Amino acid sequence: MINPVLLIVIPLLLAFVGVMFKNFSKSLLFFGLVLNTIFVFFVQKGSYELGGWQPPFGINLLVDNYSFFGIILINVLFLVSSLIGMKKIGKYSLPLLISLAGLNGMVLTNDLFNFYVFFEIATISAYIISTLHGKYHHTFNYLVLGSVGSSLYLLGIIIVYAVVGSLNMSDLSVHFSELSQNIQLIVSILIFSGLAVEAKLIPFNSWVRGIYSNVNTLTAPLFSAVYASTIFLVFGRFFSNLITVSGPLFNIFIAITFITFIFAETSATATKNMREILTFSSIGQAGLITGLFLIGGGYAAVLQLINNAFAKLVMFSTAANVYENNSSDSIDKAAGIFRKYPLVGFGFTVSALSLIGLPLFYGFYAKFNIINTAFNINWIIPLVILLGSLLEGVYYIRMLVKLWVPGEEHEEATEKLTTKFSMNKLFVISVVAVVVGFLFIMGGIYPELFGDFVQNVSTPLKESLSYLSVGVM
Amino acid sequence: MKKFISVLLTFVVAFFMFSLLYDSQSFFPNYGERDLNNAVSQEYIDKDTDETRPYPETGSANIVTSVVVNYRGFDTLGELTVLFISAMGVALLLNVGKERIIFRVKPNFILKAGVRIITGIILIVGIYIFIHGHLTPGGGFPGGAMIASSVLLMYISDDKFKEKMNAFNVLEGASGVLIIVLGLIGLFAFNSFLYNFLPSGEIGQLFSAGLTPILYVLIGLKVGSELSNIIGNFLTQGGEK
Repeated sequence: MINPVLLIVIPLLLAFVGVMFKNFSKSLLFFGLVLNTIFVFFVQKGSYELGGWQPPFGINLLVDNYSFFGIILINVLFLVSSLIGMKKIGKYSLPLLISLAGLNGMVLTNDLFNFYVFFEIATISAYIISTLHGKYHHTFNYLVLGSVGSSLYLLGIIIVYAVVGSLNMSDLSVHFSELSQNIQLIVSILIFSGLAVEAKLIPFNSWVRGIYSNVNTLTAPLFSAVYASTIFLVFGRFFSNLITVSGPLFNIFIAITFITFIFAETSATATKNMREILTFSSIGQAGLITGLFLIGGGYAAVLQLINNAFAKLVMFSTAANVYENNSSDSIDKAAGIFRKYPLVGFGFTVSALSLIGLPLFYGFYAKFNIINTAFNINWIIPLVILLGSLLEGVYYIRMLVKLWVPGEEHEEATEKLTTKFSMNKLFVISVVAVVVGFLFIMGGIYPELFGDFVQNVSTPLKESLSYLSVGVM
Repeated sequence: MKKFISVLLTFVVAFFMFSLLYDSQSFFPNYGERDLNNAVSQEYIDKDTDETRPYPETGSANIVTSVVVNYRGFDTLGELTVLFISAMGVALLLNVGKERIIFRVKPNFILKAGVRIITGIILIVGIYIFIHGHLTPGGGFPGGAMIASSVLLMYISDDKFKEKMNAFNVLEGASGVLIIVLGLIGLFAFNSFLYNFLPSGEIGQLFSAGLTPILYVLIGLKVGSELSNIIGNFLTQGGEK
C-alpha cells in the first residue's frame, strides 16, 4: 500500500535535503533509488487524487497495468544504470534524483499540463546530465531542439484546453473524437512533433548523434534504456489512448516513423564505431516502436520496448566502458576484446542477437509478433520491417564477429593476437550482462513466460481512459 | 539565406495554424467568447467542486492563487523543481568559484548608500507580495523575483556580499523540504498529497485559506533563494575545477 506520489516526492525531498548537505548527496541518491525500487512493487492500481480534488478539477495520478509496468521498468533500470556508472556520478547525484522524479511523473500523471511540467523536469535534467561528457556544443544543440519540442507540445495542450475546457487526459481521450477535424489535425501534429524530438524521430533528431555517440558509462544506459523507454511508453499512451490519427495524417506519421527506422539502420551499416552503431540502432528502434504504437500494435510495441531497453542497457554500457579505457571504440581496433571478457561478451552477444530477432532468443518472439501485427495493416510495413531487420543483422553480426575473433582476415585467430584493448573489470556490468543474457534466452525458450504479462500490460492501450464517474463534466 | 528560410517557415507555420483555427467550422472559440459552462474553470470560480470536504474551498480571495496553490498545487511543486534544477545546472556548469567578477566601474559611495535604502524597500514589497498572495494579485513567484532583484543590487554594491550568500543554499533546501513535508502531512493524515488541511477562515483575512498562504510564503522564499543563487553564480568567476 504505497501511494505512487511517493515515487515522485521522495527523490525531490532527498534532492532538496541534498542541497543543504552536499557531502551526503551520493548516499542520498542511492538511498532514494533503493527506496523507490522497493516501493514500486507495493503500488496498487487505481487513480490517486492530489490535494484531495477529484479529477478533472485537480490533478490525479493513474496507475493501470501500463503505467505500473512503466514505473517498474524506469525505477529498476535507473538503479541498474546508476550502479553501472557509479564512478562517473561525481557532483551529478542531485540532477539524477530529480530526473528520476521527472521520469516517474511523466509515466504516472493523468493530466496534460502536469505531464508538461514533468517532461520539462526530465529533459532539463537530461541536458545537465549530458554535459558529463564535456561536449557542451552537443548539449546546447539538444537544449535548443528540446525546448522547441516542448513548446510545441505546450501549444498543443493550450489548444486542447481552449476547446475541451479541461486538461485531464481521460477527458481528452473521451472528447477527442468529438472535436472538429481542424482541431484534431493541429493538436495531433503539435503533440506528435513535441514528443518526436525526445523520441528521436527523423526530422527532429539531429541532437541524437552528438549526445548518444559521446556517452560514458553513466549516461549510456541512462539515456538509451531509461529515457528512451520512458518516452516510448509516453508516446504509446498519447497515440493509443488519447489521440486517434486517421487519413493522410496517419500515413504521414507512419511514413515518418518507418523512414526513421530504415534510414537509421542504413546509416548504422556505414559506421565503424561501436557507440555510433548503437546510436543509429537506437534511432532505428525508436522509429520501429513508435510506428508500432501508431498502427495500434501495442502488444508488439511493448515486447520490442522491453527487448530494446535491456539489450541497449548491456550493449551501450559495454561500448562506453570500452571507450573509457582506450579512448577509442572503433570495432577494428577492439577486435577480439570479448576473448578477454567472456562474461560481458556473452551478455553483449545475446543482447545483439535478441535485438536482431534470431530464433532461440526473446527477440524472435518480439519480431514474430511485430510482423504479425504489421501484416494486419498492409503488406508494405512488414516488408519494411524485414528489410530493416536484415540490415540490423548485417551490421550486428559483422560487429560481433570482429569483437570475438582477434586478428586480421585470413589469419588464424589465436589468443596471442588479442588486442591491447581493455575494459574496467566492472562487477556490475558482468552481472547485468549475464542476467540480461539469461533472461533473453529464457524468454526465447518459454515465450509464454513474458507473453501473458505483456498482454496484460498492453490491454489498457486498447481502451480510452474513462474511469471518471459519470456526470462530472 | 538561412534567415530568409526561417522567416518563411515561421510564416508558413503561422498561416497553417491561423487558417485551421480561424474557421467557423472549427469550434475554436474567439477571444472572450468561450462558453465556460462545461469547462473546469467555471467550477473554480463557483468554488463548488467538492462540498463534502471538511474545509470547502472558500478561503482564498484571489482565484488565481487557489488554482495555482490549491487545486493544482502539484504543478507548482513541479515548477519549483524546474527552477531548482535550472539553478543547479547553472551552478554545476559555470564551475562556480569564490572570486567575484570585478566591474570596470568600482561601486562608489552614492551607489552603496542608495542601494542600502532601496534594497530595504524592495525586500519589504517582495515579502508583502508573497504574504498577501491569497488576497491580492501576486504571489510566491513574483515576490521571490523581487527578493532576488534586491540581492542583485546588494551584489553589485558590496564586495563582501558573497560570503553571506551561503545562507541561500540552506534557505533553498529548507523551504523545499518544508513544502514537501506539509504535503506529506496531508498524504498521511487525509490520504492525499498537498491536502489543504487547515481551516479556511474568513475571506479577506490575512489568516485565511488554510494552507495556501503558508505554502505561498515557502514558495516565495524558495524562488527568491533560487534566483539569488543563479545571480550569485553568474557573478562569480574562476575557482578550482
